[in-house]
Amino acid sequence: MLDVLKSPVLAIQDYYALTGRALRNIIRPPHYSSDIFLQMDIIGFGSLPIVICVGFFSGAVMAMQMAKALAQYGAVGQTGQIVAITLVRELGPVLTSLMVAGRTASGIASELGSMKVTEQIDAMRALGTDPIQKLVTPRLIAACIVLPLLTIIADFIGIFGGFLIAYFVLMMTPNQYWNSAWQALTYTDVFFGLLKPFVFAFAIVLTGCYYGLTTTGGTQGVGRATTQAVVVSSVLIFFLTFFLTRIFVSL
Amino acid sequence: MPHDDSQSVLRFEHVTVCFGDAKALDDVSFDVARGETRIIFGAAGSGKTVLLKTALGLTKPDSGRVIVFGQDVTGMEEKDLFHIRSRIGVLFQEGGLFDSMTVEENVGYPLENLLEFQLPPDQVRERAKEALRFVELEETLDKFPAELSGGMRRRVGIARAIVTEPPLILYDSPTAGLDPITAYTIIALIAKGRDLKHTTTVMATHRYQDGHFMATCRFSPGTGLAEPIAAAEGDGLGTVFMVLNQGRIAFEGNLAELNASTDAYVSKFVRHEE
Repeated sequence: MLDVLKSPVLAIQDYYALTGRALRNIIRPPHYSSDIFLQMDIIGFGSLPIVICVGFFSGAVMAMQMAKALAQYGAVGQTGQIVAITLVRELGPVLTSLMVAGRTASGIASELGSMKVTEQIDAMRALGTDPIQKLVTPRLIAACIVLPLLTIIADFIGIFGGFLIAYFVLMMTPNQYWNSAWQALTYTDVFFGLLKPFVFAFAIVLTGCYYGLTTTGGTQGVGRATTQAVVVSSVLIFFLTFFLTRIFVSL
Repeated sequence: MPHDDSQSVLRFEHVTVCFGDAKALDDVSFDVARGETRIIFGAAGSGKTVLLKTALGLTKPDSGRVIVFGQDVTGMEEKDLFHIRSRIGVLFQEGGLFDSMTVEENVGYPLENLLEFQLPPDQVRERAKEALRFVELEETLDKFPAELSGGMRRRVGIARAIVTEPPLILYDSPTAGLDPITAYTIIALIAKGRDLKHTTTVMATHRYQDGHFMATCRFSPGTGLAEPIAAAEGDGLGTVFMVLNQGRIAFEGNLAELNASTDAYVSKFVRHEE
């Protein structure tokens, strides 16, 4: 029984140790600022097309579905409100993070995994560089900055997608839709809507880095690490959004 | 406790390294003196790479002590190990070159990142060019490792190992997977580095020819070639051979003793005359 538990307990311990060292390195020199900007470009700008696409269609679909449901109560005019609240509170942060997890956690795990199996991580340590400082911390900082920004873009594009449906299909006036959407949102919604992607950024990057840096077994191991990174980071996003939402609704 | 034995560069004292239940190194003890060339023979999985990584502090021993340049590195923290590692050059088995960097960036990496150096970019470029000139690959400065052949990647790896002019260089299977001509070029370069820069050299290999060459040939600055030493000089140029078998030292001695060994495992690494 103890042997069965040993492996997951050790994995959790290593994950926390990695988290601790990555956070500690934020304030400890050397700082690899060029790597932070490079990662912001890769994670942020690189994810922009897919985030816009997902944001737009989730907003549009939400508007169509909600309009149908609201029509039963004669409240189609509230479509903007429903779309805005759903996107800003939940769908925007979660869908954006899932897209970024699919792109970034897999990318990080495969890149670091390949470096591990080709002894580049060992070479880095042998040549005077802390791999966590050089590889993990810049990715963590970059993701924590760009994921909330991507969420803002996804939220806006989603609400805009909902507006197109409201205007062209539901025949609502722009004023009616945007007023309803704007009035529905509170500062708490926006705060939690941006806190979530910030927290998810930790889960995505640290999971990708953990599986990458613990890769064993050659190229097959890299493939395994990549899959595990995407699955675990996606599950962690749902797990974390549940707890954050629980805190949010109890306020 | 610091050791003041100035002749000892690398010492293993009853070192055991385990991965799970398997012992990669089992009670290994040896001492590498300043200026010595130590050849470590062993089959795949015998513990050669683990031994070199333990010497660098990349792998922690489960028991025993590792002493490098008189300092016990066994329980040393990573940041303190960087100071020790700045005095050790290393060529990894597959070269260990960074895929995302050019050859120049790879070779200049230790000069930019090791605390003892951190040179400005113009000096890094100059030193990197100099090291690449040493391995006769100056024209590859702007290429990426993926654009090079296996032999060229090893030579770039050697350039990166020697660029800081460390007093101790570790070579992990430098000729593995190479054709005989390229393997000869690599070993000749290692001998050149040893003889011109007077470095202590530890080389893990499974090829008898590599060890034999290091013990019997010396680089001649006059001809620019490695030449066999005279028989009268035949102390093997301070070369010590060690054979690892399943993590344990099966043999330690000079070339003559290696050739004379009757041990069944050890003699597999010796090319006997027909």
